Amino acid sequence: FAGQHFSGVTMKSKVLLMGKGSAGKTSMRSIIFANYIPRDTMRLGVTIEVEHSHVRFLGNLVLNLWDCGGQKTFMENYFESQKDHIFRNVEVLIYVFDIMSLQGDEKEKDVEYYKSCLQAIQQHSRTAKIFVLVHKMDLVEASQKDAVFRNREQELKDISKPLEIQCFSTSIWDETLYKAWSAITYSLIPNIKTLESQLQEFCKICEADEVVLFERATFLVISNATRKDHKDVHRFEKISNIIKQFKLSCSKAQAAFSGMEVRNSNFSAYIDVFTTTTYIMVIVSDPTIPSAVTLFNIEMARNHFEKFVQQSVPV
Amino acid sequence: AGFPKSDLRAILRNLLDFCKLLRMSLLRPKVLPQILNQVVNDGVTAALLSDTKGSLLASSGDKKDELLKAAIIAGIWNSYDAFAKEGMGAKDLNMVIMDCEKGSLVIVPVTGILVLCLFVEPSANFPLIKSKVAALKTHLDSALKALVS
Repeated sequence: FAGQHFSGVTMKSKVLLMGKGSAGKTSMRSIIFANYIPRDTMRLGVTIEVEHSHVRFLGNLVLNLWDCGGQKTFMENYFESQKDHIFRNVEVLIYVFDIMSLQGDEKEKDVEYYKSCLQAIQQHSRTAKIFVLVHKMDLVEASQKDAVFRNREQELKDISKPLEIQCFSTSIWDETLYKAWSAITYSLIPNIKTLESQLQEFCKICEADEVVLFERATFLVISNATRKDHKDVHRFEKISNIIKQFKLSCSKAQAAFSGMEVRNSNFSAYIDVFTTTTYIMVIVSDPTIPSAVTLFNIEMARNHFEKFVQQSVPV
Repeated sequence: AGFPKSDLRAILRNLLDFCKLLRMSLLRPKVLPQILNQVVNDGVTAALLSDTKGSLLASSGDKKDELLKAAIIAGIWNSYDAFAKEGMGAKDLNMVIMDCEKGSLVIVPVTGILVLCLFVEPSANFPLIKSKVAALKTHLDSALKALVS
């Protein structure tokens, strides 16, 4: 994960976001990184150039998002002349398919594009992690979603051999998008297991029900420690969405979100800035534990985690 | 100083939990009230520990309006602390004793960032209580030193 050297210059870790035109990449990228809520993305229009945005992620990691327009001629031109440049030093390839396109006449073309990307990856960044998002799943009838996804997943895995891929079923209209990107984020942190153990230890001492670490810019879940099982497995994505939307509302009112404490008769939730790249959420359901004690411990832990998270991120 | 030392020492040892993985100490949430419990007797009706911002960390004894009391006591301490230093040129304020209608408050600082307050009945043996507070403060100071540094 160390930055690879090319002609003496350190190339930062690159994440490629690719896929055919109107697969939903730009909306997706905007929602995850530029904090647009789904309703806003309809105004974004068609990407006609390479959107080469540098997003600082997890501190030292720079996500180099190549949102290639995907419009037919553009993609063909760009591919040929820039292939080397695009596909070198890639840590992660995220390929997006529009499910409706995969189910229709365009399927062959879709798969062709995908295969050329894979070939280029195999040639220039053999060890890159590959994630495939089967997107716009909200357009599939609810009762058929699982079956449709499983079929496509199997097909794509077969097509991709010998390269291994991980598939996700996603939509900008529910928490599945976050789940996929969280999983991608998780795979990018080298010391994740140690981080998880430390979080578990912290959770136990605070006598908290759950402690969650979010990436600061995107509110994607990096890690969590649980002492009390919770029935809603989608709670992280829901909380991410809620906080992001609240954060957005705050910025519209010219206020910067920094943290919140939510207390009711069942629990207290503390959400606060933690390290330079993370937010922490601590849930305590024991009513006898005063807020100040939990906040005190979070403050104490802050410095220690700061050092650790910094060390664990590839430069 | 008027309470079973061995009990207090045992409880104090439990106050901080050293996290092996994090390589640091954290506060065990439920031990502070146990510590304060040790002084709630012989004329002391309640004990309270808060931070200088007025947030309650722990209380023992009469818990009525504990959050409000924590805030008020921190306010009282901060005012007199500022007054002693700026107004009277003192280096440190050691203790505030407030005689009220129904009893007294004894307030002392702990590790520079916390405030300990005892609520004392009019009939209590005041010199004994003053020495209890001083001893408890010393114990808490040394127990929390690891955290604050």
